[in-house]
Amino acid sequence: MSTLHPTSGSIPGHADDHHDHHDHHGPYYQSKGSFWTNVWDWCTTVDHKKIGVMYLIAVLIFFFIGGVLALAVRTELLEPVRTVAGQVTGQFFKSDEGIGKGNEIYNRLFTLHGAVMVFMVIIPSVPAALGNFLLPLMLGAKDVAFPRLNLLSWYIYFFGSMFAGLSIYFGGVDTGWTFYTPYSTTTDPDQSRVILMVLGAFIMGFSSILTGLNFIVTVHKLRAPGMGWFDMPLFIWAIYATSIIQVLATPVIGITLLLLILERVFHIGIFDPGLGGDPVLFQHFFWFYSHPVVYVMILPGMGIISEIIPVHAHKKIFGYRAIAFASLGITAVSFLVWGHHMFSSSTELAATIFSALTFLVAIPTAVKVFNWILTLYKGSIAMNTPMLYALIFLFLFSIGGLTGLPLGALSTDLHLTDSYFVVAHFHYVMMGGTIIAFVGGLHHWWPKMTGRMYNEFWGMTGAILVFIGFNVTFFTQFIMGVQGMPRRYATYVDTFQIWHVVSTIGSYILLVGFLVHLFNFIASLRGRVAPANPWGALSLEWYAASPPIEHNFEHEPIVKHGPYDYGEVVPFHCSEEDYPLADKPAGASAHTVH
Amino acid sequence: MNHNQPLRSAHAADAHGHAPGGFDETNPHGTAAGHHAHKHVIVSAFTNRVVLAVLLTFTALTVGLANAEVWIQQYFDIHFPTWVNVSVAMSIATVKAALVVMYFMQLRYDNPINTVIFLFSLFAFALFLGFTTIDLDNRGKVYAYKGGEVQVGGNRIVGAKTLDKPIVQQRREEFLKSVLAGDQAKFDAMKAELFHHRQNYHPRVEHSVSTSGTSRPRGGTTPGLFEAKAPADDGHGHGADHKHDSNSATKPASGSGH
Amino acid sequence: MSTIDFKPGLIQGGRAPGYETYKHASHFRTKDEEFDACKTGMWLFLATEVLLFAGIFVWYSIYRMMYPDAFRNGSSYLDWRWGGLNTVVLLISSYTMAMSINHFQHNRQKEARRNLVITLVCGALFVAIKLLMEYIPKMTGWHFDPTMSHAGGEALTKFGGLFYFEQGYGGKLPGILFSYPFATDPHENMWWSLYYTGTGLHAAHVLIGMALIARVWWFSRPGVENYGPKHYTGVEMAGLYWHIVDLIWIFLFPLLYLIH
Repeated sequence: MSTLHPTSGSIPGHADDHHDHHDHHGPYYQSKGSFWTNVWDWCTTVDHKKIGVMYLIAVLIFFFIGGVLALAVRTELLEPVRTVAGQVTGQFFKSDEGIGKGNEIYNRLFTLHGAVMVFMVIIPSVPAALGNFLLPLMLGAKDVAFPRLNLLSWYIYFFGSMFAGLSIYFGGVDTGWTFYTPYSTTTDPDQSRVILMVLGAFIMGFSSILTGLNFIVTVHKLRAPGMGWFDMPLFIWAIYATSIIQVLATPVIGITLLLLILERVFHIGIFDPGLGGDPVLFQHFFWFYSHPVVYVMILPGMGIISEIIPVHAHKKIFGYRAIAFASLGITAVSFLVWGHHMFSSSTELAATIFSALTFLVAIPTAVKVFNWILTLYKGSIAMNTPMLYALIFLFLFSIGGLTGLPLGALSTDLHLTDSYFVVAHFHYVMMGGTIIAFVGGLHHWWPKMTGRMYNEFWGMTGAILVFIGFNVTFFTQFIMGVQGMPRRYATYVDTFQIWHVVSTIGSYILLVGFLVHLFNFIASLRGRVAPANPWGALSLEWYAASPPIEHNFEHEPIVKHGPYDYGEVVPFHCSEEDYPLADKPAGASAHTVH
Repeated sequence: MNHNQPLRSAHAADAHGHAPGGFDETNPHGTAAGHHAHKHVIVSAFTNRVVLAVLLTFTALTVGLANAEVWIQQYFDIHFPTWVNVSVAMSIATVKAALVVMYFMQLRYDNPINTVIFLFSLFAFALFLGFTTIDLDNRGKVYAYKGGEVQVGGNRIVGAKTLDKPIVQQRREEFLKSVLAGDQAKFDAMKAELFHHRQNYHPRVEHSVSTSGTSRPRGGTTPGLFEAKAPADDGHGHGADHKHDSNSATKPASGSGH
Repeated sequence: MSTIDFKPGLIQGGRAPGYETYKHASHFRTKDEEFDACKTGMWLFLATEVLLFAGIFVWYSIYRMMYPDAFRNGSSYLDWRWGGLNTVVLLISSYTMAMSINHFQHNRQKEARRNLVITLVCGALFVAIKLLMEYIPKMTGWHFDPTMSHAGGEALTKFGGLFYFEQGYGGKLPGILFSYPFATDPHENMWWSLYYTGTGLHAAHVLIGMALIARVWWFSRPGVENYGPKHYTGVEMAGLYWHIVDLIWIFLFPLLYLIH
C-alpha cells in the first residue's frame, strides 16, 4: 500500500489543455469582480461546489421555515382546544370564523411543516447539498458528469419551491404532506393552493431525478485513476444507492402528482370514489415513491456516519464491503415494503406480505450499525462535534429503527396507526437520523467547504442541546402514542397535556441548540483558517485544498490506497509524527491540527 | 500545502512506480482488466431495414389475430378466455419492443450497464404493478365483510359538487332533456342509427358487474360484416334492456373483480 | 457493422465542420468517455420515462381488473385502423431515426438530414392523426373529412365541409367533462379518462421528441454540421428518446385498441 501522488504532468489524451482560464488556483468562491459579476457568476455556475453551496443555503433556509412551522404546531399543542361555556380555550391560532377554521389553521401548519421538511429539506439535504459538493471531490474528479444538468436541477428545485411558496402565500394546504385523496381532491375546491403545492412537489421531483442520474453516471465514469468500486468512500456508495432510488422511484411520484392535478382540474376519477375511482390506489402510487424515498433520506445520512466514524476514530472501517452492500440491499428492499404505510387500508393478504418483507429492512440496517460500533471499538476516538453527532446518530437512529419493528408487525401496527408513536418513530429516523447526520457532516466538512474551522466548544454545546431537546420532544411522543394520542389533532384529552407541555419545551431546547450551531457557523466564517486536512482523513476530498480550487485538484489524483487505510499510510498534508503508522509506537495525538 | 510535490508515502519506493497488475494511469479504472475502450458501433442499413420489416409484420400480425378472434367468435361461436387475447397481444408487443431496444436503440452492442439500467426499470415496474394488484385484487378475500361495497358509477361526490345520479346516467338524461326535449323514441332511434352506421365504434356490451373471462366481440371494419346481428343480440350482453337503470344499486366489490 | 469511411474536409467559409472541431468537456478524459457517459445518462433518463408511464399502465391494469366491461366497451369505440396506422407511422419514423444516425456515422450529411426530416414529418403525422381522427371527433362530434363529401348535405359543416358534425357522437371526454349520452356502462367515463391521459401523455412525449430532433436538424445544417463520424452524441440522444416514445406506443396500441 502506498499513498496517492499527483501526476507530474498532464495525462496523455486528457482534456486539460482545452482550458485556459485566467486563474483557477484560488478558492472556488473567490471573487470574480464586482458584486453583480459575482451574482451572475454564481447564478450561471456549473461548478458542483458552488451548486452544492447554493443547495445548502436553500436547504438551511427551508429548514428554518419548517422548524418555525414545527414550533408553531408545538405551541398550539400546549393546551387542548375546547369550548367551555361558549368560550374557546387553548386555541393559539384563532380565526374569526370560529373554532373549526382555527383548527384548520393548525392542519395547514402541520401539513406545511411536513411538506417543507420532506420535499425541500430532507430529500435535497444530504444528496444535493453535501453530495454535490463532495461527490466529485471524493472521486477525484473535476466535476460531476453533466455540470449544466446539475445547474438545471438546482433551478428546477428553486422553481419548484417557488410554487410551493406561492401555495403557502395563498394560505397553504391542509391535506397532510402525503396529499391523500380524497383530502387533496375535495379540500379547497375553488382554490389553486393544492394544485400549486402538488405542482411544486412534482417539479422538485425532476430536480431529484436529474441529480440522481448525474451522480450515477459520475460514479461510473469519473472515478480517479486507480479507484476501483471498492476503493470508493462509503459516502459515495450511500449516495450511489440513493441515486438509484431517486431515478427509479421519483418518476412514479411524478405521474402520481400529475394525475392528482388532473383529478383536481378535470376530475378524471382515477383516485376519486365519486366517479368510481379508488382512493387506496393513490396510496399505492404515492408510497411506491415515498417509501423508497424514506431511504433516500436516511441512506446518505448513513453514508456520512460511515465517513465520520473511521476518520475521527482514526481506524479502518470495519466491514467495508458489508456496509457497501448493505446500502445496495436497502435500496433493493426499499421497493418491496411500501405497503406497510397502509396496513389499515390495504387488504389482509397484501398487508401480510408487506409486513413480512418489512422486517427485511432491519437486516442491512443492523449490519451497518454493528459495523460502525465495531469500527469505534479500540479506535483512537477524538471527541469533537462530528464524532459526537455520529454517536448521537447511533443512539437516536437505533431507537428510531427499533421502534419501526412494532410498526412493521401487523397486530401492533393496527393499534399504533396514525398515533403519536408513528410521529415519534419517523422523527427519530428522519430527524434523529438524517438531520443529525447532516449537521454532523456539516461540521465534518465545514473546514473543506469554507476553509475555516468552527469553534469546537460551541459546536459541542449545540450538539448536546440538540440531543437533549430532541429526546425531550420526541420520546414523550412515544409514550403518548402508545396511550392512544392520535396524530394531526389540535385538540386532545387532558391526560396528555403534561406530555404535550414537556414535548413543546423540548422543541424550544432544540431550537436553541440549532441557533447555537447557526451562530457558530456564521462566526466561523471569520474564524481560524482551516488546514487542508484538519482531521487527518484519507479520502480524496481532504487531498484538495481547503477550500478547493475551481477544478478541485491541481493535478488529477491517482489512487493507490483505500479511503480507510488508517495506520497504513500517512494522511495527505500530514506528517508521520502526528499520524504514526501501525508498526510504530503511538506518538502525538492523532488529531492535532497543523 | 504543497500540491505540486508528491506526498509522503509509507512505501516511498512505490510512489511513482506502477502497481503490479498493469496499472494504467490513463485509464479511468486504473487497471487494464477493468475496462475496455468502447467501440462505436454502426448498425448497418440492412439490419435496420430487416428490423423495420419484422416490426411491420408483427404489427399486422397482432392486428390480424385480434380481429381473427372476433371473427371466430362471431361465426363459429368459439370463445377464447381473455388471457389468450391479452397474452398474444402482449407477447407480440414484447417482441416488437425487444427489437426496437436491441437494434434501433443499439442496446445489443452497447455497454452492458445500459441494459442493466433498462431491465431495472422494468423490474421496478413489475414490482409496482404486482404488489398493487395483489392488494386491490384481494379485497375481502380473507374476511368477506371487509370487501366493502362499491356503488356502481361511484358515490357521485365529485369535488365540491354532488351529482344527482352516476355520471353516465346523468349525462344521458341531460342529453335527452336539453337536446332531444325528452323524446325517448328519438333517443333510441339516434342510438340505433349511430350504432348501425358506425360499426367500429359500436359498444356491444351492455353493462354487467360479474361477467368477465371471455372476450367480447367488437365492431368489424368491413361495412356490413356484422350486419346480420342486431347490436345487443350478440349473445353475450344482457339483452337490450337498460341494465344501467339499476346503476345506483350497490353491489359487493368482490364480485366486480374476476 | 462496418468501419467508418471518413474523409476530413472543410465546409463552406473554409471552416472545419462542427463534428471536427468539437471538444469534449474538460472533466472527461476522452471523447469516447463523454459519449459513453451521455449514453448511460440517457438510459437512466429513459428508465425514468418507463416508470413515468408505469403509472399509466398500472392505472390501466387495476381498472381493467375492476371494471372489465367498461374497458372492453370503451376499447370497442376505438378504431384499430387509426391506431394501427399510427403504429406504422411511428415504426417508420423510428427506422428513419436509426438510419439518420447511420448516415451521420458515415458522414452522409444530406441523407442524414433527409431522414431527420422524414422522422419529423412522421411525428407530425402521428399527432395530426391523433387529433383529427381521434381526439376531435370523439370529444366534439366534429368529424374530419378531407374528401369534403358532406359539404352541402344535411349535416352541419365547417371550413367548407372539411369538418362535419354528427349529433350524439361527441362528448367522449375524460372525467367530469364526460357527456356522451349513449354510454352503456356506468364506468365508461373511467375508460375515457385513461384513454386521454395515456395517449395525451404519450403525444406530449412525441412533441418533446420532435423538438429534440428539430434541434439536431438545426445544428446539422450546412455550414454548421455539428454531427458527423467523430461526434454524434446529440443525434444518438435524440434518437434514444424517440425510440422510447415508439416503445411506449408499441404497448399502448394493443392495450387500448386490440385487447378486448
